[in-house]
Amino acid sequence: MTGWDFFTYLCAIFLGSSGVILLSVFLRDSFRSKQKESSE
Amino acid sequence: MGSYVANIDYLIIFLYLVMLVSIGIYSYRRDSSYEEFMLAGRGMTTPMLISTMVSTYYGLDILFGSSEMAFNDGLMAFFGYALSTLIFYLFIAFVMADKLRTANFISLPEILEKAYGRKTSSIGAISSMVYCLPTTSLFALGRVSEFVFGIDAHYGAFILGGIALAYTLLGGLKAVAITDTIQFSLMCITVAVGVPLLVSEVGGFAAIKESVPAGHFNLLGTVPPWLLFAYASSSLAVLIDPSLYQRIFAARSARQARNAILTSTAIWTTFDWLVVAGGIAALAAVSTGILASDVHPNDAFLIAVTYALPIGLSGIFLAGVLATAMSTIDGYTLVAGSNISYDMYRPLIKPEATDAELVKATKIGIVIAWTLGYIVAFQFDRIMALLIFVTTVITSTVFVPVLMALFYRGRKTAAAGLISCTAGLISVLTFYIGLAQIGDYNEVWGTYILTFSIGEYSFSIWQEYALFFCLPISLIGFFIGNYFGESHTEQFQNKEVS
Repeated sequence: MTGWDFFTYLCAIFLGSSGVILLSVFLRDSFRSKQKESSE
Repeated sequence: MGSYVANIDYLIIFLYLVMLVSIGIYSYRRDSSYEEFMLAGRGMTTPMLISTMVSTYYGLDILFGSSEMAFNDGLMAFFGYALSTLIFYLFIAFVMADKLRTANFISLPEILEKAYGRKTSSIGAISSMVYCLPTTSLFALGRVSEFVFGIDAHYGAFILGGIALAYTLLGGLKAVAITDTIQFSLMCITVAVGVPLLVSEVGGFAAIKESVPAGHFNLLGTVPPWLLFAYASSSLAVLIDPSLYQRIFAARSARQARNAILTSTAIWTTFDWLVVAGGIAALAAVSTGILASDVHPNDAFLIAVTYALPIGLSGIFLAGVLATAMSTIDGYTLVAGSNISYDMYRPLIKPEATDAELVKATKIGIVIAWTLGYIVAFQFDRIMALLIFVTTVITSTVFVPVLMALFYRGRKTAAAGLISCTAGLISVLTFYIGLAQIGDYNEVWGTYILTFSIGEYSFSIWQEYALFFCLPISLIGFFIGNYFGESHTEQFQNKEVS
């Protein structure tokens, strides 16, 4: 494995986890605000 | 292309499109105020802000442009081109975000209005609107639908671009931000899976190095240095990108805006690298016979990643690619619509317009901007040339006055803004039209070049060098104008927007 391969995998891990984290945080926030709206 | 896409992939794409329209309907509020429609009430969560920043800037022109550049020129696409843009984003995060957000602006031309008056802001609004027309995205969307669905580019752009138009009209920035978040996540995940799979499919970078030209691993490539510098200079446009400004204005605080830009920059860096790596791997796949030899450099990345991904994920990836174009269309069309309503209709036609009238005018503006973008999109053979021209126009016109408004502490007169804007605009038009008349068209680079000699030295001036001449002219215009008239400066800090 060359340095370029390593860099590519590192970027892929960062980008993939960013996508997952942002989507899950967004869904969590949306769920919470929906709950808050319905309780009001 | 069709052979790499299964029926289940088409089903995924269809469900995705249905979801976008549903989000528009969900976000629709009949009585929304202008600030709620345009800036989502300045109450977006950080994930939404990051997603909408990243996905709006990252359009198909960049996806195709970077991968095509990597396919043709190798690592230069990342080290010579993409990195300069990323450095400017760091400048925005650390230096500009705080000033922009604390001043509570609503649009970029409003900065010009406060600093120099309405005449300058009107020129700024026209430049901003032209820059934000969804021309390149609609063109690219048509191209993608042609080889994914096999339908004519005009119809593809009309249908898919029409969906982006529909949810933008219904829900404003809130709908745009929600769809951007989902679109962005899909794109990140599929590119993160697809590119490493493609790289291993062709045997890793050791094998890629063997099958592509040696110059592809030269960090700055074989492009003429001045052209490389001109490409890097065109990245200056991000410092005055009206859509990025809108995201900063929509943040809850300056700190949230800065953190969102920093996170976005890290994401853009990794995304850019993966697209460049995918472009080089696609060339290796063509060289080694994995992909057909007649693949167009523009489409190579798309075809190669779809080939590398398993069934199902290909559908999500293609949906993500459509998302990349649609998120750019929605974001920029929204800003262009607001340039028409908030920056032209309100100050010039109806200063006492109510919130409801502004929202209505913005929606009409969005439709006008989308229609203009659609008409222009299919009038040009070389869409990248148009992209560089539009970028040069906005940079030459508003770069100096906006940055002076934000950072120059001395007095600022209305004439300074007006002369700077006008001189920049006239010089860029003169430069482009003049060079097209007296220069020679170069088929290889797709641009006009004027070559001349002084003594024994030979010089070449490319159309891409416009900024080297027009920005200094705009700056000189600013200082000349500053000697005339009375100061028009307003203090931006902690200003309340009426």
